Amino acid sequence: MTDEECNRTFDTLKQALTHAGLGWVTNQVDEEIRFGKTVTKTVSSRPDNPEDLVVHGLGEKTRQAKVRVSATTPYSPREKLNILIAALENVCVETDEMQRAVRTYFSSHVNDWNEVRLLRTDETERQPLVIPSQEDVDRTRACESLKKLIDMLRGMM
Amino acid sequence: MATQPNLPALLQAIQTALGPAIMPSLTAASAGSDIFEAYILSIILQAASIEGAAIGFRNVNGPITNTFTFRTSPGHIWSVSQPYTHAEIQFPNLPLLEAHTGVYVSGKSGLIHESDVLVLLSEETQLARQNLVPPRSKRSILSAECKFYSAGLGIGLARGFVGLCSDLSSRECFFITNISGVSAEKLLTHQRKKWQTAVQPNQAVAVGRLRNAVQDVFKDFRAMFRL
Repeated sequence: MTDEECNRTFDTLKQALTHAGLGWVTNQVDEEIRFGKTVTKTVSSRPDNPEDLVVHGLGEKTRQAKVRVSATTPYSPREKLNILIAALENVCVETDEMQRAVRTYFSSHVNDWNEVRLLRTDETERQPLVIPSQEDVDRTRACESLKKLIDMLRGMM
Repeated sequence: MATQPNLPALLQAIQTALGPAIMPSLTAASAGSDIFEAYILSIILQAASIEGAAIGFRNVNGPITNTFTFRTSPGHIWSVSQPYTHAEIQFPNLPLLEAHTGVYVSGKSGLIHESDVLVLLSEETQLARQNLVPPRSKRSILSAECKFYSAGLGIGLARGFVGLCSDLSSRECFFITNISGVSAEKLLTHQRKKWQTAVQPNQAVAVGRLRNAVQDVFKDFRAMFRL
């Protein structure tokens, strides 16, 4: 995939996520991209002495000391797309896997349980998030299908 | 051999697949955090089981029914506004422990903080419930700060955790996230804090590492209170 294709794919995918109500995901992705990639740079610890001011044999050595410092560098189009794809996977696919893990835990420790309710009192307008004892087969299938498509997209990069 | 779709067709397929794959509540960032906290609680309870504890569940107002209600935004441990559930962790011949999600806890300074997952002595929770006060962090053996992010695990989160740890006197404080973040990891390592990033079901190594670290906490608890 060329840089231009990566950029176009990024925009299309971002739009799809926003349209699906996952604006908070694209905001977090934008934030990471804005910050940039953390890298280590080797820089000179003091400025160059202009050659015409140097009196050879006198004063300090002109050799510069090198130090390693942290810095940021912009992400490439491919890296940006990777961040967005990972975010999509983290939110849609991994949360489904986490719910499955919670369901498995409770099923192995408790008989005849009905549901786990995750209640948030600071967002009264939001309904409790419910993990039922029975898997939502349709959603699981949809997540598996999405995962396959994501892997396919990664394969094309 | 399956044929690869072209890029526009693949993107269209992803857009179509998104709708049925997304839980309606996932449109709020907090929903992912809620699921993550429940997931981390299950890992902590697994670790206790591996170390030989019996696990049970109780509601704040009595025995458990067939529904578990976990609080995921901060609340008081004594609140009976909902039938909040907690886990009971019983090691043979040792004081009873309780595991709670989203509760307030008081620090060294007397300030009140939130703990996403807190494991503490049951006698301390009795005291808190009887007196309508937050439990003291010094009576807890584990406090976990859970962060669920889709991307961009900022250093600010780790910085906040370092500050939190300086006031909590829990025996062990953990910073646990679902994704990695180089800056956060560097800071926490430099500050010698316990952390585990990329804790997701498909990351067996990270999950195993967290479970082992929590097992160590229970191992130490057993050693401390053994007669």
